[in-house]
Parts: sequence; structure tokens; C-alpha cells
Amino acid sequence: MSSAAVQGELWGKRPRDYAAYLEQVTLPLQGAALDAAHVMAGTHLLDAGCGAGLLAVLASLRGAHVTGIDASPGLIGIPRERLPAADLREGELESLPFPEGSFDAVTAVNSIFYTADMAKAMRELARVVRPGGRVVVTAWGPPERCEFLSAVLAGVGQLMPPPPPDAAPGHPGALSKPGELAALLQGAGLRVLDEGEVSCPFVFPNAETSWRANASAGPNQMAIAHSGEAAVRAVYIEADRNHTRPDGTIRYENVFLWAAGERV
Amino acid sequence: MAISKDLLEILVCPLCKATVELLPGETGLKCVQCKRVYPIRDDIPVMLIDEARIEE
Repeated sequence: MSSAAVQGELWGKRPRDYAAYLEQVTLPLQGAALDAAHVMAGTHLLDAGCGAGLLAVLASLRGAHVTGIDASPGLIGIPRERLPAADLREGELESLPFPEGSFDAVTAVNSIFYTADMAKAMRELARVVRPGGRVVVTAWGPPERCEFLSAVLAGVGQLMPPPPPDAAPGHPGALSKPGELAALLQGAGLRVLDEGEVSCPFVFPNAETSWRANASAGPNQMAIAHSGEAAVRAVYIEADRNHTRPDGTIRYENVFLWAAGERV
Repeated sequence: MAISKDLLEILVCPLCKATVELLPGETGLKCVQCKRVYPIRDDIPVMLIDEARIEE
């Protein structure tokens, strides 16, 4: 099974919960990616790894023409509902079904680290943007600056199946070191224009909503399939308890990174 | 008629990047070069190489 098929299945298990409860935790990052990619009215944008389509919706509010691609057949039906006129398809980042130079801008928000071959995926993103067009990629910041990762990564990791030899990186810690995103852009022949970081606190009104949100994420679905829902949920109950504020709200402070490159 | 003509203009085979053609009944998209047929499910083209079948 290709990495796209594996990730696609995992992220498509609970698409409604993902769309309603989890996708928006990175809302500030989605806006920053659109800004960095210079998405405005009339921009032909490809969102690579579009998930349930939040960035596509935001881009369409700016008047952009949006194309979205995602490896998850379970998720891609949701942007189809949200944006009936958008061009949406199922596919993988390493083999994009678009001619060279098709788009004014390309975004890949927290998707490239789930691909089996990040360099190949990056070359594909660079290929389909026009000369002078921008490519923006994002990733989690360093784990020590992401309370969410610090709180759950070790616990959930123990509940995962052992990775197969040809495993995709698929790890939210990938690309979190300074310069890694920029190096990925450069390796695909793009000129790095700018880099930045965005604070994205994950806020949940209560533990039940936190679990509905987080259970929809691909890595947690993998852990649930291997170790059972109760074991994975126990990790979140403990993490949420440690991040509950006086009003009962659960809040994790996180930092995400972005880098913007231009095709020369 | 859910697949628009505009959309098809920028659609290529993810493997060889050649043009794809819409099959009658909009059941799939066929690459003119490698003859892979990519299925269309719920109006969404599935442009995954693993899911395509070669039809001469």
C-alpha cells in the first residue's frame, strides 16, 4: 500500500469530526499560508493535501480559483460539499495530475511530512507552479515549543504498530528544525523568499470535544486500530487534565513554521 | 455532468503527465499515452496511480 493510500484511509475514518472539531485548530496557520502565497482575487491556487477544505474555503472567500487534492477518499467529499464549484480530486503529492506551470500559487499546509518521499513531493509542488509563482509549505514547530506534541506524542507512540520497513515519515516532528523547510524548497529548485512562525493554540471547550477532535487524526486512528480506543483515549484524558485552565477549557500552546519559495 | 470541461483542460496523468480523456458516461479518465484509466467516484477523479488500470 502506498503512503498516500495508508494516510488517506486513516484520515478518512472520521471526516465529519475532523472537519467540525480538528481542522480549525490551525486556523491562524492557514491564513498565514494564504498571505505568504500571495493568494488574492483571481489567483489560481492549488492546495496540496487539502483535507476537509478549510484553506480552500478561505481562499475562495478571497476570490481565488481553488484546486484541491488529497489522498483521503473519506475527506475529499467534504470540500466537495463546501465548495461545489471547486476543482477537487483524489491524488498524492508525489505524483500530481497537473501540467507544469498550472498554478499561480501552491500551498501544502501540514501535509508534506506525511508523504513517503518529501523531496519528490516538493519537486512536484515546484513543477506545477508557474515561474514567478509562490509555493508555501508548513510544518509543526519544535516539539519543545508545541505543548500538544509534548503532551501526547510519547504516549500515543507507544500504542502505534511498529513501522514497516518502507514506512512514510508521517511524523509531525519532521521538518521542525530551523532551516529544514527552507532546505526542502531549495532542494526542489525554488528560491526561498521568506520564513515565519505562527502561534496556533489548540483550544477545546471540554475533554469530550477534545477527544472527538483528536480521534479523527490519522496517527491516532493508527494507534486506535493497533491498541484500541480506550488506550489511546487514556493518553488524551491525562494530557487534557494537565492542560485544563481554571474555566475548564483545555488549551495547548503550539508553534507552527512556514516557508515561502518562488519558482525562478 | 459534474466534471467541467475547464477542469479537464488542466488534468494530466500523474505518472507520465500526458493528457487524459473523459470516458463515455464519465466513469473514468484515460491517459492518451500510458492508457491508464483513473476512476471517477462521486464526481471526484481518483488520480492515484495505484488505483488506475491499464486498458488498451
